[in-house]
Amino acid sequence: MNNYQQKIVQYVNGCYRYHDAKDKEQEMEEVLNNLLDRYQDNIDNKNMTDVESYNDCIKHAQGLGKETIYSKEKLPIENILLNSSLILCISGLIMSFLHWLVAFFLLMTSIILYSTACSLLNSKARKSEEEGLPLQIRNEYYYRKFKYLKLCFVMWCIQIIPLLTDVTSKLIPLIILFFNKKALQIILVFFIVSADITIFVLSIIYSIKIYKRIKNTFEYETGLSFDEISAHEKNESHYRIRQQALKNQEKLIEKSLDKPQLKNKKKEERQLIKKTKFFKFTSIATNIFIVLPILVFSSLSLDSLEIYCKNPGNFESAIFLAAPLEISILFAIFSVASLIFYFISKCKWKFGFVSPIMIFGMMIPLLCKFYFKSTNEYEIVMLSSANNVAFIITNFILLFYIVTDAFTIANILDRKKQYELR
Amino acid sequence: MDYYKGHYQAMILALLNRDGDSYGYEMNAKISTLTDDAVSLTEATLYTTLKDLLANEMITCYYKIGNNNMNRKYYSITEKGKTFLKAYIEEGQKAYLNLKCVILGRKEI
Repeated sequence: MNNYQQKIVQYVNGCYRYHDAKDKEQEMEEVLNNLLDRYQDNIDNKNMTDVESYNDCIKHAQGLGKETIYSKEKLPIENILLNSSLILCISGLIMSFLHWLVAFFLLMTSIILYSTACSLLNSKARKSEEEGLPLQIRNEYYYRKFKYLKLCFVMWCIQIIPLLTDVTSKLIPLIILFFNKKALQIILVFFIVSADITIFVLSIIYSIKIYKRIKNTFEYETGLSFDEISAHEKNESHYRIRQQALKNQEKLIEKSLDKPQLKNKKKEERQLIKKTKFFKFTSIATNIFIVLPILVFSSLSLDSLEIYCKNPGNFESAIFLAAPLEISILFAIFSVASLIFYFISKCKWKFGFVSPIMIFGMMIPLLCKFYFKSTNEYEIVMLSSANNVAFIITNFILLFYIVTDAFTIANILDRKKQYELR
Repeated sequence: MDYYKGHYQAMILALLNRDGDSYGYEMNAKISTLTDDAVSLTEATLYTTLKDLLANEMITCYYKIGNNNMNRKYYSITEKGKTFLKAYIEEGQKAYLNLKCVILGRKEI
């Protein structure tokens, strides 16, 4: 076998590297035999040189394995759900130090999204078992489930502490207000604090138990040790090895391509992959920039309204929480983030426009506040409440953002994968 | 415009019916020779077509050691394939005549 024939073998191997059909080997052998026949036939009967013959073979082999990539690789919905769950649980953890209600809402949404993703992954794993696909494919579904769980689970557990503290701190003043007898007050406070501690201890114990159970399930389902995989992941990631192997294969294929046109095509693909990597990073970064200011801002405004409702005379402290300087800084960050997001998701321009519109919506009451300094207490509180309404709406938009962004990331990753596979 | 796109299955069936059992490259080479290189199937198109024909039970396959001691996958036409080909040719002739009538603007006698 000469050099060009070896290159043909490499090319065919590369084309079929993602093929998961049962008769992969047979099909590869058949294609390879035919291509080698074509190569020899071109030289013997069509007076072609080695290079010409080789290029003709590659021309005829274009599109091999394409069927697998485009028909079987679908957009993984479970990945979108897992990503969304992770983003929400990180946001929830940060929010748990600011506002318990928002944090609780984020925590619940995160758990629901993760559970949905898990059930999807489980069904996919079972389906792959039924179809008789290699065990590695089934294990990968399980592995993905547990990979996200490790991070999410820790954050969910940590969130319990500030949530409980917040609830307790809100309950104790209420008890003091409603119950006049000091002895009763002490008993109730003692009861709540001890209940709090008990809930905390129990949740920690049950969290550990649930984690252990999940760990055992993973070991039972895959036959692999959870700890071994974690340790292995730290040193030499399974994915990293796979990626490295793919890169090496890609290099070999590239070397085997003598046609300058094809080389240029590969170069373009590499540039596209770089771009998608950049987009992935910026979209995650922007997401954090968008999500966090809104959450902080909305929690401050909710506190502001709460303070005024409890103590209508003390409107200054309520307004103080929505101080113009802090608001301006947050607006600036939000505006920049929105614009970046808009440029990133050009195809989803509608969502890109939502945040600037919301900014203007929120700015109006504040501008009014500056113009009408002589307004009375009632008007200022009304303006502040209008602000709050805007923030609450923004919170809903926030969820929209997270889901859209997760979709964008998933789309980009999918496209990137397709470029890598092509 | 790929004028021949819808006819690959019929081409393969016709070759197998006339010349007997054959393997992928041989069939492709014959198609190229007979059409003066006007029609040449890529490997991907050829195997998709062969797979479809196998799935529809119009052809069968078996392995045989060919030249250079290569393990070759040979294809042969089935009765179902022959019936399909016969009907396809008849329909094709009718379609060709109809098309000709429309293009020329008159009925053929």
